[in-house]
Amino acid sequence: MNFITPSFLVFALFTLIIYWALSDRFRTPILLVSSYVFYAFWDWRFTFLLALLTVSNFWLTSKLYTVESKVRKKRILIACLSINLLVLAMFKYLGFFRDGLVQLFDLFGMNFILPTTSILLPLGLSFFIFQTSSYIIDVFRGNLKPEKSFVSFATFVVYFPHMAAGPIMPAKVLIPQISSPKVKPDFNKAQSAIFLIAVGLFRKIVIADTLAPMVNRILDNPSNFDWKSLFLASIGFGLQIYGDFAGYSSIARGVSRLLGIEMMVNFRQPYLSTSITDFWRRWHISLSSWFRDYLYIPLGGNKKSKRRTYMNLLIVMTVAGLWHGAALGFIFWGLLHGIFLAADKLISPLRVKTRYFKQGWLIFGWVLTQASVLFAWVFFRNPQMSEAFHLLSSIANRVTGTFEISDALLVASALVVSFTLDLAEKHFQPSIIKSHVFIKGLLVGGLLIIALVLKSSTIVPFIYFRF
Amino acid sequence: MLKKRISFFLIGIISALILLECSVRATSPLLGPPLSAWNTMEDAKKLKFEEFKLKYHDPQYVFMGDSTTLIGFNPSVFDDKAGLPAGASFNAAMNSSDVKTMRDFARAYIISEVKPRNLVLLFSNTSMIQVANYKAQVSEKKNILNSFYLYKYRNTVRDPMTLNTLVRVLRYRDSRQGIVYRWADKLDDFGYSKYETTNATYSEFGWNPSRSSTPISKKYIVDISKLRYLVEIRDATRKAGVNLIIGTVPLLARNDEYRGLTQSIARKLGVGFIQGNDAVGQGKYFQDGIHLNIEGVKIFSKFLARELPKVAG
Repeated sequence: MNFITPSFLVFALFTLIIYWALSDRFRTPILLVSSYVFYAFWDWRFTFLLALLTVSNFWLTSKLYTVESKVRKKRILIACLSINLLVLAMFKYLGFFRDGLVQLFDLFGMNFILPTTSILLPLGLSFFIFQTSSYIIDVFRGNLKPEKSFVSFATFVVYFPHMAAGPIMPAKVLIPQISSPKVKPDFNKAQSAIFLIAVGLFRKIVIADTLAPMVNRILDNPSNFDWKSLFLASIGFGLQIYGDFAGYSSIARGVSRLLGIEMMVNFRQPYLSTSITDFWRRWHISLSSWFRDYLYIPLGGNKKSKRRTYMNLLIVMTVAGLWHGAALGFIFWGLLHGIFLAADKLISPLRVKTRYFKQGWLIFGWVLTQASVLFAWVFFRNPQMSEAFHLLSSIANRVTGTFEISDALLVASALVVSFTLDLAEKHFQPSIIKSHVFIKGLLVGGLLIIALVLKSSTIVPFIYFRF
Repeated sequence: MLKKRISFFLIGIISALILLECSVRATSPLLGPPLSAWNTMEDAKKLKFEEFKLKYHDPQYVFMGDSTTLIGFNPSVFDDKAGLPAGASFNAAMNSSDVKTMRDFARAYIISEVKPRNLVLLFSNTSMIQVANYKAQVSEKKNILNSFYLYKYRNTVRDPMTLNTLVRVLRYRDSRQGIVYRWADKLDDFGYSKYETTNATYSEFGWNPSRSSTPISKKYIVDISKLRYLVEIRDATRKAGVNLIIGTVPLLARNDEYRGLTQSIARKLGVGFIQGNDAVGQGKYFQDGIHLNIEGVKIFSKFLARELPKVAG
């Protein structure tokens, strides 16, 4: 069930009415049931897998907390993480490793035959696994007491607003809100939630879905197009993925707020960032926070030698790339960001020394950051490395082909709309929050009506649903 | 207090609707007629048809099809060779058209508004005629939302060329620079594509229908459940007193199933049939393996002028 379909609207309204109509003690079970219904709309067969994983994680984490011996604790932690990662590997990476193995044997001239597999990836499995893993690690570290109520825990892991594509919420923030929901609805919260939903729909429909046909038409058949079209489509993809994912996160936060549950901000105007480190503090914040807390810091973070810090950055970002998908393009995308982050750390002392040229440095930093991000997106959009390099070489060699002025206008319009929205969010958000309720209604109405008018008859699925 | 705040919030939303509606109404003269779909060719054809009806008399033949017909059939040659006055036929074919888009355009406009004596549907492949998934036609006229300019102009607003149109309108101070008008400019008075016909020839030999064309003996099974669009067109033409003819177009390779099945469908539905595929097939008459070149267009149009009156009403 896509967030921008009428069926989701009916589902969300139905859930909200029942949720607020019944007494407190029924609210968590209602969230659990509605989350499973939401998931079953996509594929009911995988609800059994989710239920099984939920039960095993709940049981093992309770055990983890009760045992005294550190060795046994560690064993349970390893068992629990192994189950989760095995499931993820089976559904997401089996084909990738199979192909890799066959190619490796091919290199040595050995004809190694392995059966081909085609397994459907359950919706949001990567997010589910990361969500549960962080909970287990927190309990293991002693940062969190395991949740006593199975219903609350099960709701925490499958909570429908963030089930499909995050944000990945820390257990200590989400579980208390789920287990003791708010008593009555609040108009202020409701109007801000509707505002978030309106902004999300606007980003998804007006920016991402309007760009999607043009981006797909060009990047799926790059050989037919002029280098200018390829360059524009690459910029278009950067705007599309931002509009798509930030739009989804905003809708998810809005829907959750209507249920009285707050979720973390996942995007904070990433395309305004002036360094790559800054970019990762603003892009997919929940995932970068997860990697920081559960991989970068355990590896030593920046507390050890400089060389070790750079190495940690490379490892973390490469794993982040692999998390997105089982393809070399994703891994290379992650590795590239690791290199950019390490380079940023390397030149950061220089930035402090040049503070007298602050404005100039900021402009230079912004251009460099956006160019790096755009370059890396090419590998993300074309997970087959050969296709990505073909695209880059076509742009570099200025190949000729089809070029339509309408594509340039479309990307230019999307750039203006996206940056206007970001700048408005950055500079006017406090004034909007304080403004009269009529102004808020005017803004919500404007965003929703424009999104409805521009909505295409074909529904473009959210990009991050496939991860 | 809460009721007052909710009211203000709702008034804000309604004000946004009014403001946006007024903005679209104010800019609508610059945008030309609203696009009925995100398919500017259909609107351009409609515009041309209106001009055509004013300039000439009502058409005797209206041709529909995809790009093979849009490029491959020249109404001027047809009128001349059939001994009809100029303006007797109109080419209403559109790029990437299929039987569904034909049904929509034929029922909503050609049959109801133009009412030609003969409606000729030319199909370039069997999947263009037989469609398993059926979608009922939505009547724009009955839709109450049509009274809103925001709704009526939704396809115009979505079109990336709209911005370009606005710039051109302001630059040349001419509202005929709208999207539809510029598309219509690609068509001549008779709906024929002005720019896409060339002298280029295709390298493959193809086939020679005059030598190898044989009567089709094999009977092809027609699945009527896949012909709902065509049945709807047939029923609409019968009701309006329009003679319906379906047919094939020239192809580079001989395809007996395409030729035979189209004929069987015409027989099953009780409508006229023209084997346009018999006109020409040699590579030298094609510009790209699919579309005819100038010479091929002449031969095909002459062929239709000779053969169509035999089945026409």
